Amino acid sequence: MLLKFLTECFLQKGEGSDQPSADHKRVLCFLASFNKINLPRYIMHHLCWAIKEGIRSKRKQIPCGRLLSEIFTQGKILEILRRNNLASNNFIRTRTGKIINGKTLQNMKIIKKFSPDEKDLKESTAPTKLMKDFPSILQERNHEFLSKLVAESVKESGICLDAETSEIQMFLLSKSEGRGLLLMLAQKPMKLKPRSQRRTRLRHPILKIALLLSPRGKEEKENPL
Amino acid sequence: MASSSAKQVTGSSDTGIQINTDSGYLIKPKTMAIPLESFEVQVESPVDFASLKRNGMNLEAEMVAQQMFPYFEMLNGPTFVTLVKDFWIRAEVYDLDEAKDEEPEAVIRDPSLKGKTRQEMGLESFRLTEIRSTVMGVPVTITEEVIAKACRVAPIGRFV
Repeated sequence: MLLKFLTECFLQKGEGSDQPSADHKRVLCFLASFNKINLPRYIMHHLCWAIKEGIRSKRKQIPCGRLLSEIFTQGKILEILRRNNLASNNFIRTRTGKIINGKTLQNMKIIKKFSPDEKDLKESTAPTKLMKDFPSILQERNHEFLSKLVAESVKESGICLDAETSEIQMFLLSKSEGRGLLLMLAQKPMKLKPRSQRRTRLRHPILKIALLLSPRGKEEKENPL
Repeated sequence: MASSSAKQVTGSSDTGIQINTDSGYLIKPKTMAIPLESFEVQVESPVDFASLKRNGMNLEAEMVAQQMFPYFEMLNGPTFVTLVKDFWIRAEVYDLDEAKDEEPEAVIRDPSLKGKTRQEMGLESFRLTEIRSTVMGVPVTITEEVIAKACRVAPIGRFV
């Protein structure tokens, strides 16, 4: 179970690496022997290694997604995005980690049947309270300058953080076919002629989803053609 | 990497933001040659120690020794997948090796600096390892102190 904590809560491994690394072995030994570890230093070390591997050997796994998100929250990145009207309170595609609990023990065949309780921890997407003494992560604090950088970034990357469009965008990004057209559809409201005036029908399921989720699509949904 | 990409700067000396005079602001270049959609964000698992204990696995003593309960509490929250990917694709590590590499680069730019100290070359003295990147264009620096604060864990203990 301590090894599970290690690989799923602290220093996540990449795919296909069954053999624990030297850091994993050391931390596991310290955890089992009640020796306090310097967790921030191990995490920093692991992140630096993963970045270097990503640059050098195209490693695709990004570890510590939740921790990085917490740093962005406490470091006021979300505040800057909100100030620039790029994000609302329920914005951005979010995920939560799978909770390790009694059910995990059953899945690992450590126990035969687990006993749930109404007080069991539930996955939460609630943002954490901002700390007053969190060290700054911003290299630049001029609001006007930051706004220009954010605007330029959106223009360059095409990333859209609005709740509706980002969902379509990421769904479409996962599909290889017709990516350009579909990305365009995801980012722009669809302008479609009434059904009676269309020469072709929307057969593709992705097009139908894009239509339903786009602002124009909502109007059409309320007033079916 | 860190030094080579931080050529033209406005506002701060280490932002790595390039300014293009024709079109205004340009964002820090990508450091990884992987498409954004190919990345897999790994989200840490929160732990329900009470449920584990009720089902016969009590690991509270181990975690009390590590003073890690606030860390596990923090883990039960949202992960912003798009922001994390945008951060990662431009991330680079500024460590002692990178800092040392800045010196020959400075000499190549200005041969008269040969044999001079880091300070005389106009380079900042190396303090600590940093992860540098941008999030939606906003330049950020992550240090061990930042990680410790976000983890709610003191940066003390064994590190081998």
